[in-house]
Amino acid sequence: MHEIYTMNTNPLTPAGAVMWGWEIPVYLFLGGLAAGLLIIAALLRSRVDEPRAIRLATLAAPIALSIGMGALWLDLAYKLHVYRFYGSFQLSSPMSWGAWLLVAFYPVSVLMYLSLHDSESFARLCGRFSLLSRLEGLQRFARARRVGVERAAILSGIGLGVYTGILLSALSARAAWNSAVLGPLFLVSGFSTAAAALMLLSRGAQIHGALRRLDVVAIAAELALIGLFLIGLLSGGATQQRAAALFLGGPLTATFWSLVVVTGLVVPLSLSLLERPLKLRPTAVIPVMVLIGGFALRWILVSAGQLS
Amino acid sequence: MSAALPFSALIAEHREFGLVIAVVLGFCFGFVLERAGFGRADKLAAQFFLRDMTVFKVMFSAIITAMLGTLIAAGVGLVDLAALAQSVVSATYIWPMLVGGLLLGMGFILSGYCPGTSLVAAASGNIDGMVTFGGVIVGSLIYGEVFPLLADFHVAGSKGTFLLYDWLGMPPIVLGAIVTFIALAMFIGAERVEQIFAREGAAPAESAQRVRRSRRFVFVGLSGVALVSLVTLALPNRPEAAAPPADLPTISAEQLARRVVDRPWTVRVFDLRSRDACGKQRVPQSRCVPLTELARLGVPYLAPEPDLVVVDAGDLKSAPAELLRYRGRVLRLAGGFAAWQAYALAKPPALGATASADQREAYRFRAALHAALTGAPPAPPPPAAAGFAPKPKKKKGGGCS
Repeated sequence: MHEIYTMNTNPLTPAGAVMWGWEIPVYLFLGGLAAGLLIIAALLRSRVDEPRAIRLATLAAPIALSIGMGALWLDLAYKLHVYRFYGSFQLSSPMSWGAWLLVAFYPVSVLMYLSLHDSESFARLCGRFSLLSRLEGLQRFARARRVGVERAAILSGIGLGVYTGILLSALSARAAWNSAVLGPLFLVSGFSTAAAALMLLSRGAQIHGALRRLDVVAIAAELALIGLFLIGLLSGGATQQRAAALFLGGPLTATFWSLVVVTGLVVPLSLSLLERPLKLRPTAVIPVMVLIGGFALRWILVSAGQLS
Repeated sequence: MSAALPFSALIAEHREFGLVIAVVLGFCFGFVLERAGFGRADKLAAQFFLRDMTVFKVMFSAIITAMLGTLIAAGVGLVDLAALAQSVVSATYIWPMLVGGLLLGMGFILSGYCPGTSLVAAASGNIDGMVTFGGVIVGSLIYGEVFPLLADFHVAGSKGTFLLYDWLGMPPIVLGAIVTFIALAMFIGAERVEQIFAREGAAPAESAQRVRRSRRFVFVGLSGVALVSLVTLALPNRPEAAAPPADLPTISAEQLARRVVDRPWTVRVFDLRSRDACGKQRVPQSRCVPLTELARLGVPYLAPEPDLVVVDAGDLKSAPAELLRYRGRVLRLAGGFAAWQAYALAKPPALGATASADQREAYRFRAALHAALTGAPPAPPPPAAAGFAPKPKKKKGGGCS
C-alpha cells in the first residue's frame, strides 16, 4: 500500500521506479528453497537410505523460510501491522493465501521432522534436547501416519512454491509478471535449488545420484517453462511484448541469459548429464551454479516486473 | 562499425547478446581446458620440464585457430581488421611486459597454474586452484593500491600499438600462412622434445596410437583452416580492410544552444579541448574530456538516450574510436568551439526592420543567451514590426525562473 500510495500521489516519482529492493527476491528464493527441501525430503525418505540427509533437509526448510520471512518483514513499510494478515482470510487475495500457507508450513515441517524418527532415535534426541520430550505424543502420531504427513508435506511445499510465483503474477498490471507460468516456474526452480542445496550439504553417493536425477528433470522442466514464459509474453499485447523485449535485447538480456539460463540451467544440466559418461568428479560447481541461477531468476523477474 | 562483427556485438545495439555469447564461450573454453588436463597442476608444471608439451600445443593451436578464424572472417568481410586492431590490440610497453611476464612465469611454476587455468582447477574442485585464484585477486588489489608509485613504470618503454603484419610490411594472409607453417613445425618439434624428456615407461603403447590419431586430427584440422583462409584471398570484391572511421554528423552552434537551453536532457556535451582551454570557457553543461582521457570514461557504458555532442578546437581530423563506441547518436559541433564563440559569446548583429518573425525569435534567443553567458547588458530589442511591440524577453537558462 505504501508503495502504491507513493507512486500514485507523488508526480516526481519516475514511472517504472524500482520500489522492491533485495528483500523480496531473497524472500522468494528462500521460500522456494524451503518448499523444495520439504518436497524432496518427503519424496526421497522411502527411496534412499540416508536418514541424516533427509532430516537435514526437513530441518533446513523452516529455517530457510524463517530467514526469508525476516527479509519480507524488513520490506514492510509498517512493520507492526504484520499481525493484520492473520486477522482475516481473503479468498480472492493471493497475499492472504500466502500468509496462511506460510503459517501452515511450520506445523507440517515439524510433523514431517518428527515422523522421520523412530522411538529409539527420538529418545536419543530427547536426551540431548529435553524440551522435545513434551512432543512425544505428537511424534507417535506423526510416525503412525507418516504417509499422510508426507502427502501433507508435499502439498504444503507445492502450495508455498507456487505461491512465490503467484505473488508476482497476481500483480497483473505489471506486464512481465502477467503470466500464469510464473507459479509453476518458481515451484520447479525452488525444487531444483533445493536439490542443489542438499547436494552441497550431504555428500552420500546414493543421495547424490538421486538428487542429480531430480535436478536434471527439474532443470529441463524449468528451461521449458522459461521458454513458455517468453512465448506467452511475445504472443501477448504490446505491453507484454515490450516486457519480453527486456529479456530479448533489452537491459536485462545479458544478466538473464548468462546468469539464469546459461549459468543456472544449461551448464549444470550439461555437466550433470556428462558426469557419468566422462567420469567427472562431483564437485560443488553444479549446485553452486544452480543456486546462483535460482537466485538470479527471482532477482531479475522482480526487477523486470517493476521495469515493465 | 558495420563491418566489425565482434565490436558491433559488444558495443552497439547487440551488446547484451554479445555479453551472453561471451559467457557461453567462456564456459566452453573452460570446459575444453579442463578436458585437456589444464585443471591439474602436475600436467601444467610438466611443461616447464619439457616432459609434457600439451600446454604448449593446446595454446598454440588456440592462437592459430583464432588467427585463422579472424583472417577468414576478414576475408569474407565480417571483420574489419583495422577496427579490430584499434579496439582490442593492447599497446606494447617493453619493460613492464618483461617484468610482468617473468613474475607471471614465477607464479606459474610456483603454483602450477596461470590465472585462467587456476579458475579451471578451482571449478574442478582443486583447492590449490582456488588458493591460486585468490592470489591473483589479492595481487591485483595490491598492484591497484600501489599503482601511484608504479605509474611511470607502468608505461615505460612504450612502443604504441603495432601489428606484426604492419611491422613486417606483408599482407596479413601471407603472415598468417607463415605463422601456421611455423606452428606446425613447432608442433612436430614439441613432440620430439617430449620423446627426449619423457620419463621411462611414461607412455604406454595403447596411448601412443591415440596420440598418433589426435596428432593427425590436429594437422588435418589446422591445414584445412589455413587452406580456407588462403582461399579467401581469391574472393572477389573484398572490402577494404582499413577503411577510416566515418566522419561524424554535425550540429550547428544554434541547434546545440537551443537543445542545451530548452531540452538539456536530450544532449550530453563533451569538450575535447585541453583542460585549460575548457576550464576557461565552454558550452554550458558540457564536460571537459580531453582526448587522452576519453578512454577512461567508459563511453560504451553511458546511457545512450541523450545525443553525445563533441566540441573540439576545430582540429578533429576523424572521430576517435572511443567515441564511436557510444551506444547513442554522436554529433560534432560544426566549426568547433570557435563556432560556439562566434554564435553565443559575440554580440548578435542587429536586425533590420524587415526581419521575419523567425529571425526575430532567433535574435531574441541569441541575445538572451549572450547576455546570460557573458553578463553583458541585454542587447536592444529587435526593431518592432508593424503593429507588434515585443515584450522584453526573460533571461533564459535560469532553471526555475
